[in-house]
Amino acid sequence: MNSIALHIIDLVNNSIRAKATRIHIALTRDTQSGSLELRIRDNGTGMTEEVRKQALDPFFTTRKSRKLGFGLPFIKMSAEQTGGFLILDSQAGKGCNLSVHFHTGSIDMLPMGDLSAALCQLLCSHPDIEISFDWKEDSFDFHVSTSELLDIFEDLPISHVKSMNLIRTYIHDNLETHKMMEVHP
Amino acid sequence: MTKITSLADLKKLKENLHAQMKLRDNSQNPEALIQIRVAMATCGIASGAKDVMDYLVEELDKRNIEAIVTQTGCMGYCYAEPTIEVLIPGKEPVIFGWVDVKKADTIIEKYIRNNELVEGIIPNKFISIE
Repeated sequence: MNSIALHIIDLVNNSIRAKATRIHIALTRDTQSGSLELRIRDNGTGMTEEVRKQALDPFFTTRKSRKLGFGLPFIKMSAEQTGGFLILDSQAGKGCNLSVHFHTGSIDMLPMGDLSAALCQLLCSHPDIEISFDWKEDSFDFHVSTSELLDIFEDLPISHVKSMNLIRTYIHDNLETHKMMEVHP
Repeated sequence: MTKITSLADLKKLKENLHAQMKLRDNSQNPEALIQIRVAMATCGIASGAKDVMDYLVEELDKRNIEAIVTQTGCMGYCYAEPTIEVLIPGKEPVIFGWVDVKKADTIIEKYIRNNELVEGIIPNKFISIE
């Protein structure tokens, strides 16, 4: 994974696999202290304490189609190499709460990547799952969610390529206007 | 292109788009559209599936091909990522492996447009490697 955007796609797909119906993604940046927090909260099946402890082990996975699970270990590494950390909080039946902290000033900080395409792909691929995204920085706040897009697109499928291109531009223009595309100031 | 920064702008553009699409009859029914699913688990993402999906969305729109493109989980073909499944209405779905941007272009032009077979098809009967 070479950007925050790719990590987000990966982690949200974990929530989807855990049968979540609501997934909230929040990116909060504090320019003063140079920190960035990525938080992903879902209402999926959650993990038992035993599974939660093993989730950061790359040789552990709950899936049957393969024997490795690199998603969480990768983001833990990405955070720790900047001097940050990861907190994984979950209870069986109660969903999952993941919080990852980065120090944006570190030379090993990942670039943000193509966040608008990543979010557009996630939101448009799963019209039946309420995915919401929040960017907070100082006084700025950008919010987008599946239900908001479904309201606007009505009977036109949001996964249609023509809808997706509009949605992607919408997210991109909002993030770009506020110069949110790059982590490094 | 003008910027789209408010939901009102987005709504206006959607309505323009919808009006254009209503002129063509097959746009209304998702079953009549080409459906592409891009495997987007850790293995797919690490091999560049996001860029392939991005390319498909942009190019299908540009080339005026009515299609729905979505993400899906790991299909178990980690060795062949990025993999995509293409479903043309009335046909069996086909899974292609090792799809980079160049291969995606070939799939659009040869398989989707001209119905020709393209190299890299993964047979749908498989066993996982233990």
